[in-house]
Amino acid sequence: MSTVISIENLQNSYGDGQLVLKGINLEVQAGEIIGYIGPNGAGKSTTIKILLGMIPSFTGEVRVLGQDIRTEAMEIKKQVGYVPENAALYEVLTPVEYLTFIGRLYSMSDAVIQRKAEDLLHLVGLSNHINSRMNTFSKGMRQKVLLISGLIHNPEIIFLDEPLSGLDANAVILVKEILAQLKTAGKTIFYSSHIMDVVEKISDRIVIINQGQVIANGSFEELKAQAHSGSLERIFQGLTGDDTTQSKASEFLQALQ
Amino acid sequence: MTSSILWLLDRLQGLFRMLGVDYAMMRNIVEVKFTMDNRRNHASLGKRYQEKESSQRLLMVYGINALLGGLIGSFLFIAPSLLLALTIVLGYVIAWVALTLITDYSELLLDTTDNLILLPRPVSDRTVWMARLVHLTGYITLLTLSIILLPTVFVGIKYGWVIVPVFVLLSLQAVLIAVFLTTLLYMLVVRFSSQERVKDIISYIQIAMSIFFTAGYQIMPRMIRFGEVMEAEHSIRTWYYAVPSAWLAGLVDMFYQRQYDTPHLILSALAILVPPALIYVNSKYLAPSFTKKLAGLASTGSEEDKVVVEKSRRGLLPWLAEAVTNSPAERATFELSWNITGRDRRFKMRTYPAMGSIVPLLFVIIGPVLNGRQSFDQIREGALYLVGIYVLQVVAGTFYANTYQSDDYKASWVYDAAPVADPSELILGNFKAAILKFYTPFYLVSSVLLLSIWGWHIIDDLLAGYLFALFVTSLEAWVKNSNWKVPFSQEPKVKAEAGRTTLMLIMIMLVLPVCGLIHWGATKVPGGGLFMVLLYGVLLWSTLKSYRRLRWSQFE
Repeated sequence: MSTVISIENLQNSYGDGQLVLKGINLEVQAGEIIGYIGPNGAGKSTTIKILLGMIPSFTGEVRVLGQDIRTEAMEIKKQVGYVPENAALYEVLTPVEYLTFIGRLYSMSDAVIQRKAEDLLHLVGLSNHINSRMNTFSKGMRQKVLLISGLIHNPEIIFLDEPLSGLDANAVILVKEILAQLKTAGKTIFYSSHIMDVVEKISDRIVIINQGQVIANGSFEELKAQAHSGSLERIFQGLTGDDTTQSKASEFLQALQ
Repeated sequence: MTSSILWLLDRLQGLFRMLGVDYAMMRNIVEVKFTMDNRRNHASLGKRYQEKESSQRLLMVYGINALLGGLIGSFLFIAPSLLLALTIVLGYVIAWVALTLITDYSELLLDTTDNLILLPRPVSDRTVWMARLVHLTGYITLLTLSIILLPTVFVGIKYGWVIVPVFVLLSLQAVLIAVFLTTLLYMLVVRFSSQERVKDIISYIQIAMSIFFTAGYQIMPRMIRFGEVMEAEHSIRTWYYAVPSAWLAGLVDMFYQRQYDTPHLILSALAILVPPALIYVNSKYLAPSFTKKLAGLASTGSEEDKVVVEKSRRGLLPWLAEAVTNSPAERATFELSWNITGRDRRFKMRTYPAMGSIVPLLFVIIGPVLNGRQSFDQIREGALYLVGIYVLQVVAGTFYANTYQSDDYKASWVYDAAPVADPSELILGNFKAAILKFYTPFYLVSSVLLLSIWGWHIIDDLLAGYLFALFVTSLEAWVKNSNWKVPFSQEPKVKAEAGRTTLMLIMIMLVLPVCGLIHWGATKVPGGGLFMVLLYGVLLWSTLKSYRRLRWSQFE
């Protein structure tokens, strides 16, 4: 297997000088599904945005598909896909109009975009809505369009930031199955989420970050053996220092009285 | 229209390629931007048009601008000199382009969605930047052309077609000044505020613009009478040097009159040199730091945007709520309504422009004085203040009706889930908050204005007018809500069914003048004002009492 993402001593700070990432080191192999988890504000989205070439101001070395993100961002962007955390779409467009726009940004031909858009929208159950403006869509429907827009150009690496948000149970099962089949097809998936049991089930390797640093990196089995815990939830709680939930819950109930 | 713009761009693609732009990508982005413009809401389109699912909103925007431009252009026939007429017309172009940029583009400018969509894609920064520039330039150029369309024709008719090209070129100079002013404003606002505050400030500008519109239709025809005042304006006064549109007008005037004296030369020099200098300052100093600040806002986000409501800032609200409400549910609705109406930006956008109605009212009342047709003493003898008092009710009605709408309308499930036995508590709490928070201060200001003209003897009439507004507003709720609704439970874009609205309008059209006439009659009788206070007091009391008979089964 070849290394498709390599990060060395990655650091980044907010405008006010506060460090978000404090020296991340990570390697990802082709065809892996990486579960990238951490508490709010740990630096997950910032890492992903740097890997996508969206944040140019960072220190350290970042290579994606063997190329330096600082100098070859344009080449890298052609081969990666991104599904952001919040449904960032041009809502006054219809799904087909939006996907056509996105497809053209990847220099795809209109005929191919049209065919793919219609097929994919049909497969996720939106065939009756292809000509409706998206400002009338539910959160789950927008999330489906967002997912397709991140995959339509058939990227080598897919970055997913909370991709299951707002989806119904059947759609969640479908997305999980799509991810599994993408892996079989040799695609690399960088998956960031708060839903631990999904991360636990689909990831080949789980990377936990806290306060801008990697605090665990290994397969679920390895992490389980290290932490002597049964579930990813427990491991996560132990590692991120928030293992006081039981006492907090008791206090909560007392306050209700 | 988008296709014509794209057709033009296609002719220029060689130029874009020479500049290192990926033309196909740029075209794609520009196409989507114009498509979205066509479907976006524009501040200058009335609410009626905004609610329509139209695909040609841009054309409507340009059409309205052309009409307004024609109205302003009429100064070319009224004003005694070309200089003064063009100062007004070009001043309007500058003000209008700047306002449109602030209102219609602020949402796009401050919207980080665009970055989230475009930045991860394989499009160079140069291409994205050029696409944004082309889009904005196209929009402003079309806007300017639509505004100056009729004034250009008027210039040609009145002053000859030779100076038309100069006029058109100078209108584009005016746009440069407008772009500079807008950037300057943004810089100042962004420099001192967080993103949320910026949005607030922009919505206040939008509100001011709507008021300007509402009032403008009333003021313009009355201004025309001021033509007599303007007759003396032939020479270049000192204030001309301080007004950018006067510089531009001076240049046209110099060509037209072939007067190459010092004042004309100074104005012309300012017209030619200042706009490019402003744009240089803009691109060199203002724009980069502005972009940087915006990027900062986008990345830091939430911390800076946090709006803390300190306990001390709640001030009199808990006390007031306790004093005017009779039950916990009524108090809860009162406080909710008070807070939402004060904080919800969109609510303010829908409601506050109604305050513009006070401006035409002013003109109805003191307009004759301004025109010199009547003196204040003559006005005092009449009872025009009654017109004011009764027309103001419309403002109370608008505000109250809007409290039934909210962008967070889905949150009204709490009323269904909560164990509130008597729904009238919710209606009354909301009614009281709407009246005390908005209408009372508004009415007080209006009353001070009327008192300052007519004196204390109209105080009983003002009190009666206040009670009348409350009475009709509470009555409106009965007429409108044949299916009762709880506050903040309706989606804003859903229009009330036509029949019911018409019924309400007919009621107001009948009730306002009839009650006004009765009141006018009462003022002729000693103690008539007090009688009206009593009458409206009793009527209000009985409507509010009738609320108590409301049952949940009457609600939607």
